[in-house]
Amino acid sequence: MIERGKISALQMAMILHSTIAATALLAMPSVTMKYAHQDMWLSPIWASLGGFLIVWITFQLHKFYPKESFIEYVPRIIGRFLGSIFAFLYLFFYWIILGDIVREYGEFLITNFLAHTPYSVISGSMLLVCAYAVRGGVEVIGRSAQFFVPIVMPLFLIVLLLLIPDLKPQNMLPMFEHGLKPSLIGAIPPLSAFYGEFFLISFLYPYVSDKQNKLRWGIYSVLSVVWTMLLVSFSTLLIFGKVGAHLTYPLIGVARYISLADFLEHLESIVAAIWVLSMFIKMTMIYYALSLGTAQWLKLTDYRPLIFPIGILSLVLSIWTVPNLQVLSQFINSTGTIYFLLMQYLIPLLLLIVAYFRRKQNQKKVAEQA
Amino acid sequence: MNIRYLAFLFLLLNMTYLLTGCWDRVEVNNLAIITAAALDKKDDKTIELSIQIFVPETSGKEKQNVATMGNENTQSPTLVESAEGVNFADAMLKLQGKISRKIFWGQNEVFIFGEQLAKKGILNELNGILRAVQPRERANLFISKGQAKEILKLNPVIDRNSAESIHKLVHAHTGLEESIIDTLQMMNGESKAVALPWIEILTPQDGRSSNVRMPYIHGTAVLKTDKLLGKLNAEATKGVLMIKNQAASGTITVKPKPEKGYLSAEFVKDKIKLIPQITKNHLSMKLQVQTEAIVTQNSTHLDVMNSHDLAKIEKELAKGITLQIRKALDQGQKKWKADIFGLADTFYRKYPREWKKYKKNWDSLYPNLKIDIQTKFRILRPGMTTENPKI
Repeated sequence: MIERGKISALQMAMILHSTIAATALLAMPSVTMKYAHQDMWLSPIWASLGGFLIVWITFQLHKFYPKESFIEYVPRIIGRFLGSIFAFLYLFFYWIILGDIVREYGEFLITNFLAHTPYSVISGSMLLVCAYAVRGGVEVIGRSAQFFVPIVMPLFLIVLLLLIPDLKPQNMLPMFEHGLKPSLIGAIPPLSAFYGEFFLISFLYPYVSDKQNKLRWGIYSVLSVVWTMLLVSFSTLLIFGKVGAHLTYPLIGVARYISLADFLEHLESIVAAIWVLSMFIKMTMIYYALSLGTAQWLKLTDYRPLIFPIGILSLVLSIWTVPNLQVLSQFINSTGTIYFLLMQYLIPLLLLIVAYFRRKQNQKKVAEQA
Repeated sequence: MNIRYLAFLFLLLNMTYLLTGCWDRVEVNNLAIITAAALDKKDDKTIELSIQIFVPETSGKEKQNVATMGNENTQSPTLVESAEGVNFADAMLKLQGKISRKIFWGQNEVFIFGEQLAKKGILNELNGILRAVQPRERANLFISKGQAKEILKLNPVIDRNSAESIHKLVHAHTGLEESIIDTLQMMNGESKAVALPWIEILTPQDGRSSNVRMPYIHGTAVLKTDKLLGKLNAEATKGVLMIKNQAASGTITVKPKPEKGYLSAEFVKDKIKLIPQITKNHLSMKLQVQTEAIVTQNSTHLDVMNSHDLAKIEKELAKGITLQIRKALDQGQKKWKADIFGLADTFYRKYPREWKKYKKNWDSLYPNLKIDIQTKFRILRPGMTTENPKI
């Protein structure tokens, strides 16, 4: 085993919460609103079923191979040759995702706060910090999540609490104007792009120390993401109404909308703090999965020498694959959806089915031999 | 060990290179803080963007001057600068070329559109403002009589600048309060009409100080889609404020029928409910008004302390309120034929399925929509006197 660290189930849940909620906070509301209009608050609830499904699938796979990560047990399920190809496909997948996320992080900061700072400095410095955390291993990632989540959550709640006087509940009406269909269609982007990322849990399961609570905390973290997404959806909808669909980052608009007693205003830097802290966890987690996975795939004894090369390549990739934000959102709304669904839902499910039958066959063989 | 230590030190020293550059460094004394912005039509193709900039150094001294010397001809603590362009973004760029400091929109809460530009349509410029990073979604919109630029040039003596005066007026709820987002929501909604506060210039009563003129909100501008149609007067605006649930305070004066004098009351609570109804292919509207008030003046023979008279007073005042709302509705329905009250949205919210049928004909349905107003008026307190002292 390359990674010797252990994290608690709570830490695992916190890592996952930040990983999924980080981008969902900013990017999700306008996407779901585009398809589901005033019923957009329902979409994250529908989509959460996918989150539960992934946590369950990966947990079942983990039960079959308790000490191994996804990259290690894929060859055991479908054979060494095919398995290695599949594992590589996953590493490639996370490489692209990491590039996208790095780009998204930089784009947000440049658009809203640091208009003149070069992109490579913003993203490069963040990747450097992430690289340092990845070097520390899973324990460091777990602890930083445990440290940052209790900072991020109250900040987020403060923003929402201060908004209460400005909420217009009538923006929710009419409910189900076109039945449930729009909200179900609106559930597809969060299902594929956001809840799909729960698949990263398969890289964490082997290192969680309390075995009984793994699945339970996985489900808790899906629930907390649902809750966060609901709050963001409601705040966007009840403040901006349908205009929210036209905003690039609705949460920033929402934070800027706060005005209490003529002096408590201009709170968008809180959103920036939330963004930077949770994006740190998110980037670190994907970066870690990619580095560890590559080392496991190549059967190396240590993943640390890979960290810096992967970091530099991701920075380059974030410029190559995503020339601008429009291309990224186009990718997520078209081919990306299929790609995400395939890699994070369909293949794991098929693998689970194959693993299940293999296990049965093996048991039969053992029984016959006996 | 020693080499590792040196390498570490070398790395640390290298870090200092990262600290030198800061591309987005902003110093307050390099900023031109905008307090209000005005957009006017220049000719058919171009607009003029004017900004009022807060001048920080003089404003402190200025106040002292005014306080100690009472000098009226002191210099204005604000600077008004303007530039032309084909749209907001273009004009903004040209404006920056004229000003030594970096223009900062973050504090601006007032956008005034001139009458002429508003007639042409404000949506394009609104989109430009919303897309720009710095201007705020919450900034309030106004339509001014004549050139909007003139409002910025005003130098009200009681406030630091005209932007502050306007901001305070908005909070006093003498006119509507509509942010950029509210306005876009109305335009995007079913009613496709917007009401915005109308700004005029108040010339002081004593001719002596004619250079200290103040802006004030006097009426409501009516916009269909995004184009200015006309304005409602201050009297009808009171009704608009009530229908839009924005009347935080206000007074009503009525003349009860057989009596000779007047009766005034100041309301402390005012709530209105818009209830749309569709029965047998017939659209109608019910407005339920609930008002609570304090008597402020009574020159009639009715006794506020007498419960019998009180019921009569309440009835009369309720009638007055109904009339006030009716005036606003009539102007909106009959005169301008623009649904500035968002009635279409209430139908859409309550009857989303049926609404599809009526949506197309709303423009012809709306002017003849039957609106029933039910007012409940309650007097909470008689004020500081019970019966009027008699001579």
